[in-house]
Amino acid sequence: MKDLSRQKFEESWRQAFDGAEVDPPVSIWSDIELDIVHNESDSMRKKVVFYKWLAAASVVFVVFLGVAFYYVINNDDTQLAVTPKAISKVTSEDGIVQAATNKNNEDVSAIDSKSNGTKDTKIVIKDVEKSDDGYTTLAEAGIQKEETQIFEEKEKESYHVNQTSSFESEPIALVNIMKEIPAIVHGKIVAPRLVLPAMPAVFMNSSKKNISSEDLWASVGFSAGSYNPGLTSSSSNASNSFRTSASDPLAADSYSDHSSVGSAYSTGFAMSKRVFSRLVLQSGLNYINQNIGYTSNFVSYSANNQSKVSLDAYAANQSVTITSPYKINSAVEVISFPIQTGYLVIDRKIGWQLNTGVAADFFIRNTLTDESGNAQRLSQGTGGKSPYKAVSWAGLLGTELSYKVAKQYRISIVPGMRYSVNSVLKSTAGQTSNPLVMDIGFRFRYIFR
Amino acid sequence: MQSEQELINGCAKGDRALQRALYDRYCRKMMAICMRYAKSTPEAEDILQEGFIKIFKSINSFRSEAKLETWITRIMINTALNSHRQKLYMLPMVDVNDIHLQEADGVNLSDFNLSELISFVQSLPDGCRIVFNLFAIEGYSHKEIAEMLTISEGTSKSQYNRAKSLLRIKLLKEEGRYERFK
Repeated sequence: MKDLSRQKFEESWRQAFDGAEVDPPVSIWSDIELDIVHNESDSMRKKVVFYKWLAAASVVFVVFLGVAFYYVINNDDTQLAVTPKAISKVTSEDGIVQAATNKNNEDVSAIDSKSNGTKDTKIVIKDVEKSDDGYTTLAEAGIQKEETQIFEEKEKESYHVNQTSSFESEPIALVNIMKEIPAIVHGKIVAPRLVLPAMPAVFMNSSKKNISSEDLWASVGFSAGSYNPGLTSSSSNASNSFRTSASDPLAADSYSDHSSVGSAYSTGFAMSKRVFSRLVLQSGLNYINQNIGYTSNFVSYSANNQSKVSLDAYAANQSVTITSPYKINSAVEVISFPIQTGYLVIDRKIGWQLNTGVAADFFIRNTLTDESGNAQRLSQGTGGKSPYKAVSWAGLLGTELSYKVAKQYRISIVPGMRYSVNSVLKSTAGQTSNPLVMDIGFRFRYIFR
Repeated sequence: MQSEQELINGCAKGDRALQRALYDRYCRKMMAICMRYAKSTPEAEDILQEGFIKIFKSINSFRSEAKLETWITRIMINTALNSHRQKLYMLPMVDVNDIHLQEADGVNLSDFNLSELISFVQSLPDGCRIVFNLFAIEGYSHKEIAEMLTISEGTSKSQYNRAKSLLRIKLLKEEGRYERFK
């Protein structure tokens, strides 16, 4: 009976609440929608941050590659016939080079090279104590480090080489000669065993030729990356910078949130002139488009009161209405005239250039677009009502890694950053904006001859 | 009117209109649930908002094995429990002495409207209210409740008995029979 009563108690409550409905306040959906928009913005922000880091990583990678190439190209001595460890003595007197390989103070080998000004070259091996296959491995004598090890394994073998050659008395030349000539061992002609170099042939060339014929070139390019408007104000009225002054009476009562990071792309052309052996001066013209999304609950109605206009209509002294939050995109278009100096760290088939300079940015217009399509798109150019300055200045820093694909053409990858050194907003805007763009671009270069 | 599947697919794609449609379809039922678990209406509104945000975020994980309404209700209850979890840790539920009432003194809930019943439930202490909702309305067993709230089964039972007793007193009082009962 007790159990029955308890079940009856629970059942009565369950039935009382079964299908129960309570109307929530209307504002809850607005709050939910706002949160969803925030989450979407956060998601976009994370993506942009990822690409920002990718751009930064690219810069680091390119710098690393450049340093690595520079180091390799400037260290041709690694191609010496005998490694420093194995050479105990190298002397050069009157065109005679003597190299003696010594391990454990034992006389292992002696290679004599004599230049007599003739083109005839021969190697005579005076003494070979041991030869595994009847062929001497004389030419292996330390062309590479690995070869030095082989050489050392045969430390009990004793080689004596007399060489008469036209080459200069540099140890490196010995390698070249030994690749090409046969040797005579105990009256037999033996073929030197050639060993491929460890590095690509392009880096084996010890002559350092500048591509000095590249004195003037033109390039076209495209780049894309992250855009941070660098607003100094709080997010509660950040978007005011895109439409009104700080005295906007509605700013405090209305919601407007700004993403911290957007995207930017640019395209343009440049002319470059080599002014010194490694110094380049370059200038050109770029079209830049900087986009950022944010939410707002401002709308204004157009003059005929028939359609909604987003945000900037307020600047035209029209009435503003607060509405449910909606996502808006702000696109700033700029024409930029950069002037940069570049230093050619590597000036070969592969080129690496460091660039720095300034750019004069001429504001074209700011376009506001309601992504839901409910409000009209609005563009505002330069002028008295615009919060943007007509001209602003930006500092440029970047690098360019290029590759010569043909006699007159190069392609290059160009990671870089630009930072507006002065605010792009007028002082009447009530806040400052110093945009920072980190991007990565591609260029196609035509070399004039 | 959109089908359930259309709502799910649309919400998964982030279609704002369909998200709104899903909200409109279930918000009143969910608000009633939140009211039962919350101490006050503003608290219930917070739970409702947080619950729907979770729903839109995780709707991709919804599998059609369960009814959409069941899934939404479960998320809403979990959100309500989470909102109370901290309080429950601060004021852990302990066994309480039952208030023994004669079973013959039953009450008829049909004498009260929904808002009165909700106010009765909201007047319960936090622990009692949650256990009462889970046991009496949602139909969970004391074992399940104990696992959900990380309390002992005995605590769940005693909290429920206390809730039941307090509600009885409340109902009798409202009916004008409490004085007579005393």
